[in-house]
Amino acid sequence: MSVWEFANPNNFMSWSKKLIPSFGFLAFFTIIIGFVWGLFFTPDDAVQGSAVKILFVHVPSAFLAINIYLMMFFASLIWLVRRHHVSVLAAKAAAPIGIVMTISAICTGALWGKPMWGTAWAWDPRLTSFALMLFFYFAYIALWNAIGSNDKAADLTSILCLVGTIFALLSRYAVFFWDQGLHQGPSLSLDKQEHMSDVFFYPLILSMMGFVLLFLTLVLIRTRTEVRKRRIETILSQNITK
Amino acid sequence: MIGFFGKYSTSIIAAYSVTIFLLVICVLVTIFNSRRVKKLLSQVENSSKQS
Repeated sequence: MSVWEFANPNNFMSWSKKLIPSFGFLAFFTIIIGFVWGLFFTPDDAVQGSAVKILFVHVPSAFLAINIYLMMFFASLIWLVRRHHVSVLAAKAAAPIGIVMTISAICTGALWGKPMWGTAWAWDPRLTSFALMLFFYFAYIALWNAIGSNDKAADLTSILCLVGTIFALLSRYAVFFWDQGLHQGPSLSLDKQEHMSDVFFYPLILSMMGFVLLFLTLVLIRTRTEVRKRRIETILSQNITK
Repeated sequence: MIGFFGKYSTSIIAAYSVTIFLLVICVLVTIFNSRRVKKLLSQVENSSKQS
């Protein structure tokens, strides 16, 4: 069986239905455990004090905000190259979740930045590219709603998504090559010297896993809804032609 | 609770509240919308079979 057959709408509706309950259940408990562990069972950081506890909500939100956009990039690319309807519907379904994660990352970052940096916002490369990515998310949804023809909307939103990917990549990598920024380096690193202490690392990883599982649950539910909307449109258009 | 988190307690509680609020709204809107469209599809399918 080819991997593309999973993207067949009927196959997708079948396998996604089986995965959603277990993903949702796991997401709920992983997030609860991650938050409780991060809030109540981690020590204060030597530099940041108790403000380090904000990282357990900020880092997963920012991680997903960037990676949801990258997922939309690949889904849009699949649509443009192979014309798989479910892939573009998955991108459309993911965009509102991306907005929620980006707003959460900006708000929690501001709440962390105010006591740590002395300011809630700075026109730092990472923060600015993050804000631009948020505008691309909004523009993507607005474009979907502005165009009547489904295939034309899918084409144009996919191209817009590909253009906006530059800001998602900038958000991810700006801290590596833009030294003048206020934002510190990545919170997670494979470099042992930069790597955070295990007492913060494990609850953070748990929280991130919970957020990823929640995203998968929501994107599957939302994609199923988009597939159903297409079916409604098809039935209604068939009735009109009769 | 506020004393437990020290001098950054307001920022910590606000950050968690904002995130949880946004996640809950996102989940509720997704579930509500999914149920609405599912119901609409079954109505359209039924009316299409009848006609």
